[in-house]
Amino acid sequence: MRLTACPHCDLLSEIAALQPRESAHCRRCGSLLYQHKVRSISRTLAWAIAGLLLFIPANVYPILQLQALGMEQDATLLKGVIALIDNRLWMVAILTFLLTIAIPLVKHLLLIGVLGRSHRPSPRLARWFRYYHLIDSWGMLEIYMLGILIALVKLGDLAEVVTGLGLYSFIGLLITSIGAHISLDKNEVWERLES
Amino acid sequence: MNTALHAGYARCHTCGKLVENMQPVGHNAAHCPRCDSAVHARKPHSLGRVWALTIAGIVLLAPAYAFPIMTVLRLGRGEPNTIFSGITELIHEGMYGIALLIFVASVAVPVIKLMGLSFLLLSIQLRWASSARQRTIAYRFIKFIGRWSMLDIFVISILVSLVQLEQIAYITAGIGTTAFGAVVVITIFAAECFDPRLIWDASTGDALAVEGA
Ligand SMILES: [Zn+2]
Ligand SMILES: [Zn+2]
Repeated sequence: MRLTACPHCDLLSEIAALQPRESAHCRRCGSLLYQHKVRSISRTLAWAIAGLLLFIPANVYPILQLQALGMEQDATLLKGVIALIDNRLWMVAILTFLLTIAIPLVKHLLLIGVLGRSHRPSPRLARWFRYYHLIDSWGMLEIYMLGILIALVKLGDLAEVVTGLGLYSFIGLLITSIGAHISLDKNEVWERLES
Repeated sequence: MNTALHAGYARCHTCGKLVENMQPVGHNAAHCPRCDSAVHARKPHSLGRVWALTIAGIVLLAPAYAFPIMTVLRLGRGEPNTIFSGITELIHEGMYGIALLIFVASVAVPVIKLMGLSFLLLSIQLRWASSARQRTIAYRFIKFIGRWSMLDIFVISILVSLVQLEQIAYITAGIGTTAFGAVVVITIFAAECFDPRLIWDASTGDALAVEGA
């Protein structure tokens, strides 16, 4: 049995050791307290490494390509940021750069750094994992994906739009980051870092 | 009901460790032995911070909706569009699905989020006793939907980088995106600063915890 407090209502609960795939909820407000995930660390590490590899083609190759009257334009994540700078929208450009490129990249690096060395806990690893928590909710790849689909449909009547290798890599990157998010058991990592 | 606060514990906001924390609410607390974050029984100055951010968000909605976010030039002709006129144009073009998505992300989500946070803050300050569980669920929902407001800005960044075909078609982004981006960031921070445990403190008559916040 271990004592824990609900993050949403502060009620103290005693939780028995969970069976695989079992979860514990707060009996007052229903919030999730613990969830047992099987082989969480190795699975999350695999997802994160795959994601880091896909990060390169997803950023290098064009996501969409526009063709009209012999002219051609292609869009990458970084070109979207540069186009906003060309429109003198500095703040929006910085925000887009952070949410779609910098934070997802740093999240991958932190996760690989922490999980890859979790058998040798150190204060530095704890600090890295704290940074991961800090930026966790600011990665917005899934929202960008919906944005790509909307841009694709909107441009359909204007010109011919071709999907590129970048788009398939980006979809892969999205799948791996969802995989890492689902398989990560933050509490298990913290308990390892503590010992 | 036995809360961590009453038992002399505080849950670390970052890593979830239960830390013994004998300091009264509002005072500088200890650091978490596991992750070194500052540990507070309740998020510091939660009500004041969330009110300030919510009001800032409401004020910034005006320029976000009033200024143009995007101009589409076809053969050199076209008018700047605001968020609302952009949605109207999508409807005229028959793109109902996209019009609905943009409406939800750019209008419904920020408005529901700002109204919802105001309602939750008032319910705490008026010491509502009922429906604490429903209000906690409402908070989790508000926190979850907020990030999706970035959708239109991402669409614009893709369109602006892609549609630069000189005379045929050209898309530029407008100053409204800056105000709207600020609304999204501010409301995400507001939801982060909100402490749902105050809903329960207020509903169980725990005035000490509410006033300390
Ligand atoms: Zn609870
Ligand atoms: Zn901690």
